[in-house]
Amino acid sequence: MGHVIGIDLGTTNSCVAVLENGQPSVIPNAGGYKTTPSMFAITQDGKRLVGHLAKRQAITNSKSTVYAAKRLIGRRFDSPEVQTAVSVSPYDIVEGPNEDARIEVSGKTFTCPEVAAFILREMKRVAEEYLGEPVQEAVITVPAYFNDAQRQCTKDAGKIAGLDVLRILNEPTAAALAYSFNRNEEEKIAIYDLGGGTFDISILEMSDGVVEVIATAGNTFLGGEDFDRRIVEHLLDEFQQAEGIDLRGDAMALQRLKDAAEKAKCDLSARESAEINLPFIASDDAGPRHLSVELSRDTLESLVHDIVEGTLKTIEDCMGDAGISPDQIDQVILVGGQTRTPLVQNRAAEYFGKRPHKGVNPDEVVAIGAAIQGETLTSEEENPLLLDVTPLSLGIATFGGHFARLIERNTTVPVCKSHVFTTTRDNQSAVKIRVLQGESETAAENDLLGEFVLGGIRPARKGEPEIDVSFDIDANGIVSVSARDTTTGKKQSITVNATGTLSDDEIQQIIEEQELYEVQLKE
Amino acid sequence: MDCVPSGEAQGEGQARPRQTRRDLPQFELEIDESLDLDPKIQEELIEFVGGLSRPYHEILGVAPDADTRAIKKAYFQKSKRFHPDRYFRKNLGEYEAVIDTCFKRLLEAYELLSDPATRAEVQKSETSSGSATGDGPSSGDAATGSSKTPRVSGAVAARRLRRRMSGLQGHKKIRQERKQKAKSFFESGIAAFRGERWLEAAGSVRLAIAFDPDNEVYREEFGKVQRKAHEMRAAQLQKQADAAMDLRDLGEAFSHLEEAFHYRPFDGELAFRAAQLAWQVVGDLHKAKDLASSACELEPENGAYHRVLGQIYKAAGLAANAKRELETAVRLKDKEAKAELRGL
Ligand SMILES: Nc1ncnc2c1ncn2[C@@H]1O[C@H](COP(=O)(O)OP(=O)(O)O)[C@@H](O)[C@H]1O
Ligand SMILES: [Mg+2]
Repeated sequence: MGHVIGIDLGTTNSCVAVLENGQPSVIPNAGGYKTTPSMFAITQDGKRLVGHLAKRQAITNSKSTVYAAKRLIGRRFDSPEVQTAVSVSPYDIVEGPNEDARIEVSGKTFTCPEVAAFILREMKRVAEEYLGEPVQEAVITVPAYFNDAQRQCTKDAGKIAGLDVLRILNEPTAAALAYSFNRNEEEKIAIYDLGGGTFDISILEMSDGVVEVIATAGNTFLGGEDFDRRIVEHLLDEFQQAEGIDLRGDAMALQRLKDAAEKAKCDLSARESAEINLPFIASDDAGPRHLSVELSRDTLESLVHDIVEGTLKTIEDCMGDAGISPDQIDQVILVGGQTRTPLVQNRAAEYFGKRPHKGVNPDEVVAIGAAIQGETLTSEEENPLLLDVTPLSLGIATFGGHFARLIERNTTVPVCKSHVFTTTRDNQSAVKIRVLQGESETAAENDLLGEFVLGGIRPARKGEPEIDVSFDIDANGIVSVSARDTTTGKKQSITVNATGTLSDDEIQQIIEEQELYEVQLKE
Repeated sequence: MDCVPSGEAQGEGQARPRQTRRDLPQFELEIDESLDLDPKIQEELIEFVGGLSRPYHEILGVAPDADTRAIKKAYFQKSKRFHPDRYFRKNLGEYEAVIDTCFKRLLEAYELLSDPATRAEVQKSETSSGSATGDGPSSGDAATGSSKTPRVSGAVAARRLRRRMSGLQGHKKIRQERKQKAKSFFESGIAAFRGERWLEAAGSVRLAIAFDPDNEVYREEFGKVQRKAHEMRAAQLQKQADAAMDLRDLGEAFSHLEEAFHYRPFDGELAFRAAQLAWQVVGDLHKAKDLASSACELEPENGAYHRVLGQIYKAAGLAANAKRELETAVRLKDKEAKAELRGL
């Protein structure tokens, strides 16, 4: 049997790893890099580019270069997150037929799973070149705080890329698996994962070959991109004040500013001050203008302080859920490129009262953990067992717009719970089951995963019929729900089909289309 | 078409034998050598699933008075045996459902016994229901499950709350520090406010809120400071617009007015002035229409606003809309509207 690869499909960068002779290793791409930018582009002459090639031409082709598409996956077009992305992205984001967000590049519209699939396919190819054999099976990671729709879409992306997705694994959990690999300590650890677009915190306990997630929390719309945006805003303001020119409408200038901002941010992780030089950023009657600014670490910290504090607040909530106080944590592990910023490291260290663990590479651990999990699932050896949890409460909408929680957040998966419900009117012949995920008491404030109608209920007075609704969350965190009228035995079930998820037919169609395209490229 | 949890309507604690049957499905199992599962493990599973109706501590294989540590250890050990991932994508026949059932029951046992409060509940109901002797899967277990499970679920919620509280105690000191920081940000915000540095004030108060999000005073103050900051910015922009008007730089004036309206979104007159410039100077009929509509929404009784909106529609070739607005204007006694209406 072939190898199972582990893929960290990041907002900014993706990484692929594999276990060879029991040792995990990260696979470098053709350019020798261990991570590949999660970018996709179509050039003027119709060529499709992925990874570093796409990144290199982003400045001159910003409208047809897609980055950070993970921020959109599995979300409704009208969600505030997508609307924010619409207002800041140089590429076009449009509404799809399922109220999902889609991306338009060079006159063609792509679903988010399709865009993710371009990257996954590239990672698959990188692995195949390295291993010298075809690869079929993969474990793909997602932020722990991803909801059902986002997980399903990621799984769809894997299918489109021609992968058999053995498991959708939570990123911080993967990091914990990598950390605990060949390590037999009994300890409690905290994983703080701040990447380009998402933030997760997970608290885990390990002992006796079991890795148990106790609690997890996060924000799927917070990350390094937000740091960059703060810096860009700052530069725009400064420039406007100094030169009287507003660069906000200039796509090319914005793209250059964004790149420069990110670079300065990274420089400031190692130095106290960074220079930003952008010649010919604008021009007016008086001639060309240049932007030249010195950014200090202090200034950066004042710009992003509240973002970092926000993550600490989330940690506090998560620790509360876990019932653990900071001093009980034995190891703090930082994951994700954005944790290189000293402010992040210092605040995390202050909170937990100890310096973070130095032994893991923040860019690579997640992919390594995914590869380990792939091996664990498929091999016959006695491997560590992972007990993961569902990050969000699950339930249904009830009379009056309330949310009835059936499975609490941080419940170990796989799990199945059932509850008996009844009608609200006399002789009601059908009930609508609206399945929701989230933490609000108000149904409308949670994510709607899907809905279905159970009909044919025997006529009876209100409150008499008994409808048994059972909820199942599998080890991927994916939900299915069924409802049964206990008198008639009539049963309805759905694998919840949420926003932006594709039907099997649609997936097949996309796969065929992509294959067609591959043939075209070779011509 | 809504649906109500009967638990709420009829009170928690209703007996629900059905639920129990679901929790503990019955299996008729034989050793099957053709499966991808060691016969020894099959035997073990048959035995374990047969004993699932026993008291929870017996499921875990610990003494009734075992401590939390021992319970966790037992749960980990048994999970390594009965977790579905151990048998990932194997040909398991009927055993697939068995493994699933075993793990879920094990999890339930662990969840309930690892907290003293739920554990006390469990033990009470187990001794009183008389079926706690563990004499096989058949008789008596329905009663155990039905009377026990619902009551315990209330206790689970209580346990979560308690666990939360105990976790939060460790945060006291950190909380205190953060509150202190929030306070100092807030104070510098107020100083900036007094010094009429509005934007700086808004920034500082925002930081204060980040450090102490539950403080209502900060939130309220933030609202005030931000309003003030917007107010000042709008005034500044309006002044710039007037200056631009004096210099006949109407395009410049428009962009100032448009931005000013952003900061004073309740000011109909501002929208109206911007709309006129958008229409006549900039030639952007879309913007003009949006701004004039906003003006009409804000002051629905102003005839001139409706007339201008009508004129903009007319310019855009939308005759029906133009007619509607101009008629409204006439009704509101706008003098010029009549002539415009005739020209349609
Ligand atoms: N040296 C550094 N200092 C600060 N931020 C960095 C550094 N290196 C990378 N980053 C930031 O980390 C983010 C990417 O982190 P990564 O873990 O690759 O994200 P993701 O998992 O979302 O793809 C980017 O926002 C990038 O700017
Ligand atoms: Mg990441």
